[in-house]
Amino acid sequence: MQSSLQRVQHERPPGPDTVESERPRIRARLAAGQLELPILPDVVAGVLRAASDPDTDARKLAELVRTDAAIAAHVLRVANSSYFSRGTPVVSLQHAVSRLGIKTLRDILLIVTCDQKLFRSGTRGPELREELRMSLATAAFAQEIARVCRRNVEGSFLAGLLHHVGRPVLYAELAAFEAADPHHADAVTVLTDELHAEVGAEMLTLWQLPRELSLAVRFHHCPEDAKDAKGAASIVAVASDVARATLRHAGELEVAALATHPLLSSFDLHPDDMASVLARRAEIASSLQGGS
Amino acid sequence: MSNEERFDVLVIGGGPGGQKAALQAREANKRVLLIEETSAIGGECVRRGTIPSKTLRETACALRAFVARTNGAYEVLHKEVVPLESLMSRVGTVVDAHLEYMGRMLARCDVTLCRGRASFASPKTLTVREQSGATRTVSGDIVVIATGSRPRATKEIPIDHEHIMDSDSFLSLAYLPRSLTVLGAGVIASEYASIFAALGTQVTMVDRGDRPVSFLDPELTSVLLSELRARGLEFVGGDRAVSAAWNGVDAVETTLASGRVVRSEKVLVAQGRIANLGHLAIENAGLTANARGLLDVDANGQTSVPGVYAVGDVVGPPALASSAMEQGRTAMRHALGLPPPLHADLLPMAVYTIPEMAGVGLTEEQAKTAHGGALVGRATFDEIARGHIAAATSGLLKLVLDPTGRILLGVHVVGEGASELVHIGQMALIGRLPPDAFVENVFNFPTMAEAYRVAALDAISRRP
Repeated sequence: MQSSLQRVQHERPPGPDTVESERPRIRARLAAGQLELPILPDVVAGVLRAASDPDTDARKLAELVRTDAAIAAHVLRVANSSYFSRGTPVVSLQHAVSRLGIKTLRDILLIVTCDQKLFRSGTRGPELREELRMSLATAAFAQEIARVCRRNVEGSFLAGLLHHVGRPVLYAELAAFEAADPHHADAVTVLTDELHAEVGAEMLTLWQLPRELSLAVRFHHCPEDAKDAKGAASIVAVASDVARATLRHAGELEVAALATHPLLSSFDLHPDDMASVLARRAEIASSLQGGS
Repeated sequence: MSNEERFDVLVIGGGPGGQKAALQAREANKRVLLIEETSAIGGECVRRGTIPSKTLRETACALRAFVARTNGAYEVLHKEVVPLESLMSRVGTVVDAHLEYMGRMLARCDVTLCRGRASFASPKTLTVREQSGATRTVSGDIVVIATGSRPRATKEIPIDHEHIMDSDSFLSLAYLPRSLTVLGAGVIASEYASIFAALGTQVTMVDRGDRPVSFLDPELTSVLLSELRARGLEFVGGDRAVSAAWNGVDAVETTLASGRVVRSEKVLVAQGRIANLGHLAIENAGLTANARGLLDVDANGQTSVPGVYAVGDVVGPPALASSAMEQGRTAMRHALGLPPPLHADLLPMAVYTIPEMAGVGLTEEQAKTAHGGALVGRATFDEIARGHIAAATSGLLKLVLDPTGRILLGVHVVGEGASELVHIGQMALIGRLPPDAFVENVFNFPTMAEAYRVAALDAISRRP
């Protein structure tokens, strides 16, 4: 089975030569910790409204964090800053909520929404919304697969939610390049496809998130290379395929084939048990409605 | 399309019981197919049970002993700082080493492995569905069911493996919970409760019984409970959980029958295990599960169907890796017409709480019933030099003797090294040594084993 990246690259024509100058520039800014993860303006508005309203209950705030990949990533980044973490690394969203408490979480949400770069690339806006919707669905399926396997449910959810966190970073970073010439659009897509896993993984490492999470994000298109995180990366890859099939209303034959996905053996899930997850896919996909 | 493949022996399950059955069959030069559902041979013992939990336990013991032996000169850890992942970092290495060893052994002994989920088509024919979805049909003269068990779930306490967990999912946690409610007080519940209490988690144990591991000698469990309470664990006996629910923010609220509500970051449900029979279609083999969901077998491990055996957790207690191994050997030897293993009835048992507990032979109560009385010799670890040296003075060794005090019937230990110490008593029982042997022979000094001498002297001094 082709990886998702291979499928996309096959479908897109190669970019023009000028994209070659963007690759080393991005990597240099990544190494220097200068890349930023933007948030959609309407998401910011919604979170700001909820976080600044003292009547917003704790459950609602905790749910807000879970349903947007960019918000989740920024909350974890701030939670792991020296000011908030006090030497205790936060390793999941639930861990963050329970360790920080709701009052501190509210403060962090305000910080994040007031301080972060907004996503303003008009041409990529709809694409980013679809990406975030897909990430949320991937998180939901990764969580359920982990539950059936009795593995780290919180970690799997987070890996699913953040597996494409590198994409909005690259869209924002390449916005000027893309705007300079309409012919650059395909090149931006190819470069984003190429670098998003690496960029996402490096940023998660920079934010002191668990190594297994970074590896799962880095290798979600090629889990066999993830070494001791192969199981975690495979769960994300399978969840991503299930999410895509569900949200794009794939036919029954395509869905049934997922029950014998070649990566199931990487985390010891039998086809019969995977079939039970697939049978509940509509329910699972709707369980996290309210996201972007 | 599948063609039927013939073997002499089919073993379903690659855990301790299945492995030993397979290896015993290979010793007799039989063609053996071992069918395992997961990617690694070893069963839950290796992947989620014995090996990972004991590795974490060793880390907890090492940290605790270091603090005790340095008299607080070093601050080893602050409970807020240490992520569970770092404490578990050796687990992968330990598991891999064990898997590699077992894989090599099975390969060396020429056991044919098949990865898939087996079900009975008839008493001696199995359908195996592989990971790819393909099926194959295999048949054999002897079939051994060694599919193990999984944690029992109840309708009142829904397990989500995220906030409310069982022993299979619990060690997948990425961080040390600040607080933990443990439902149950059996072996697994007590082991995990003691490990996490030693690591600094605030633990509350809830059980209907009045003490943990209640099937063991009450003197032993009294020492255990005392130690657990000293580490801040609360034992709520005579009660049970009627509901548990995640509050959507930061805690699970467990409501007890008494009306009390216990709040904790995580809940571990450890209220027994049930046999993995669901996928086997045992009815096609002419078998049915008993009222407890287990398979009934005779003393040789044979079911009601000749040539079909069951070993390990599927047949119920003691449900230990050591007993499963012995059952596997015993069953296969019977199936092959070989004499049973020697001393198969003298199995030691150990509970890997902190402190450990172990025993072999008759308990004091069993001795009183069987012999009309018992003379018991005791040694507490604060009577032993090594106990003080190792800062491990909380412990007790009991020699259970017949009423004359001249025949050793059983040995029971709680304290550091109990699981190792018990083997001295096991050998004495096998060799039918009198308790005087512990006094007349020399032990190294200073060792915990000297407790045998102290306990023997205690008993001998009170002989009628």
